[in-house]
Amino acid sequence: MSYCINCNIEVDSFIEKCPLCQSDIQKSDNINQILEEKKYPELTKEEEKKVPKISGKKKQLVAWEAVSVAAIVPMLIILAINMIVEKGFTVTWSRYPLIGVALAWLLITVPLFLLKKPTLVIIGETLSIIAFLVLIDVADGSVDWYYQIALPIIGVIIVVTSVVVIISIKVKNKGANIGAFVLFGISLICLGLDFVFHITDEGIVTISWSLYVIVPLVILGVFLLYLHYRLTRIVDIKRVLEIRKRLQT
Amino acid sequence: MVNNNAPYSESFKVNDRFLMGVSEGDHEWHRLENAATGFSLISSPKIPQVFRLSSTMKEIINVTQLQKALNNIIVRFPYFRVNMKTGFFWHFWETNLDNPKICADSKYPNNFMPIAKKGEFPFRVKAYKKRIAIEYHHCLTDGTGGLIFLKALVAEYLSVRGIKSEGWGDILRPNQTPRFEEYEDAYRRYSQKTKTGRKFVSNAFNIPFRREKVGIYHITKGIMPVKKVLEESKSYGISITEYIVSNYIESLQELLYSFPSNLLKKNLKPIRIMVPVNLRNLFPSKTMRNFSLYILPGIDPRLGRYNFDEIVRQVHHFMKKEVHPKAFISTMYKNTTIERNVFLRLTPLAVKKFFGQRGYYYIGTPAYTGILTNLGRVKLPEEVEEHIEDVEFVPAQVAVNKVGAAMVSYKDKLNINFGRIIKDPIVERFFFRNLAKKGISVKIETN
Ligand SMILES: [Zn+2]
Repeated sequence: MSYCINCNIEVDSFIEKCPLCQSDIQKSDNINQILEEKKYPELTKEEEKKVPKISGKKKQLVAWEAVSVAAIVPMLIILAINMIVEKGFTVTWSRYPLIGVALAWLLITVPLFLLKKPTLVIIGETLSIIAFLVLIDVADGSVDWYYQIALPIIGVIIVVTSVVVIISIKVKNKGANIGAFVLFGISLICLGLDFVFHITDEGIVTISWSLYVIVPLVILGVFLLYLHYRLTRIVDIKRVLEIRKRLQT
Repeated sequence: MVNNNAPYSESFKVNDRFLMGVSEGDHEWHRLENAATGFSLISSPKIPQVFRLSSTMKEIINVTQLQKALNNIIVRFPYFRVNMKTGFFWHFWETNLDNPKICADSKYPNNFMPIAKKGEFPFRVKAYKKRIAIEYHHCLTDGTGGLIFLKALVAEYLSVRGIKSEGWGDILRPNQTPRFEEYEDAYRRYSQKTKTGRKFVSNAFNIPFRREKVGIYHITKGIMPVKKVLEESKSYGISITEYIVSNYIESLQELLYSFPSNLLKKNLKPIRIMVPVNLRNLFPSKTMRNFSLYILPGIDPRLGRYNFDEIVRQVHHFMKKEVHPKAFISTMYKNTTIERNVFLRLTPLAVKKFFGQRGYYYIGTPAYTGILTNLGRVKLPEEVEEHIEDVEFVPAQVAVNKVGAAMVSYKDKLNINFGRIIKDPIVERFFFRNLAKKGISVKIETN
């Protein structure tokens, strides 16, 4: 009979380390040794294989397959309806919904495979949207508004949003400062849109309406930043939130 | 009101709609009862819902004879001779006339059973040295049903080996005809429409450690003299279950206070133990399918540290109050919501399972810290008993709570099996040291 002096428990005589605390077992006598044996078999190679493993890759593939099927079925239905209506193998109005469904499929597929690489997700999603707009523009026969309006707008929005998101994730002390970043982002987007419209309409580099948006937003943003980085040290925000905490319990 | 004396014929009427739906020769089918429905929606390799009962004989198992005994006895248990089928909205059972095969035991018990696979039985009989173990998928039955089958299999094995018994007692024998009552969905029979709301239970302290690779299941068995434990419980005027639950809660409290202050602060939540209650003791039923619900005795460490006497009081009075037929009637009814709600019914099975397997981590299960299921004392006729050394009960793997325990007493021994999916036996260490401190001698065995 063997004994662990830390746990005050008895163990089989063939045991060398206490199963509860891993300390060495005190051996007193070996009378029972013949009777005592292992209570479960060793892990076999076969059993090791049997331990069910569904890898992340496999899950991704299954999910992607489901999404793809979910996209292909409505595409086929749309195509069929279009052909029935047109009484022939021509694709007319169905181009637009088809391109739309394809975009949805792309938008879901990209993050599914690149979940752990946010920069690649942003690039992938941007490219899908850009491709979508090109296709939509081309679908009616010619490229007209794409290069002048769609591409720059998308560019501005994507770049600004990405910068705001990345800064918000990276910044250490989160709070009112995130609000400020969002406001600055909106200002930048407005500025960009204003530029784009003026250039395409009049061919001149100027800004007009965006000024009315930018000024108050920037002031508000600066105020939020001040609140966050200066005031938090003076007034303990936690005290303000205390009421909520009390209500919770 | 519950009509506890409902005659047999009446129970037949209540249940016939829900039982053997179609009988066309071999392809009989029947519905899953309420608990099984729930288990079927959450079961996955991570949440296998498999528990195990085993009996250690005095001699090495003869697998050929055991297979013969299994082939003989399975006929007496037609509701176990099934294969789970996948419908569009629900799973259901279909009769499976194959014979289940004895298989070799494994290092890690209670792993995932792909019961919806064609031809797969929702239980497996494993032989290792002197031990016959049966692992049951919880969809099939609960511990009580499982023990009845284990006893019947062991008795038949002895009988195949030529052991004659004068009286088999309550052990089911192959020559008997199965009674209709054994099939019954007892939840449906006893649940009544009530207007009481569901009690909201806040989240409890959950063991915060990361789980091991799926498939690894550590078993720690503590063997104690039942006499000594009974003496100790009697000195507090409580039952063995209440005593062990109190000890479990006390150990978890000590474990919580052993944490560094930041972890303690984060985890300072109620400590509750899930204690399954065999409803056959409260509502007369002979069902071989699931018929149990649970109660959650516990303490709230946010109110301060409890000493053992205080924990004993909490547990004892809580259990006295909660283990009562009226306390379970509305729960039984509420639990059938999933089968009554039109929208839930019309949701495809795959969607139900998707949300079931994920919802399991957030709804219900976080309300308790640990599990202690007690099968009580296993009694066998003398002629059978003299061939059986030990009976064991291994709890199912618990994904949220990570550590669970199951106890059963046989002859002069009380066996408490802990199962855990984390590396460190931290709960076991606190629990068994705590018992040893109270003067109970404990022997530990592991897998
Ligand atoms: Zn030890």
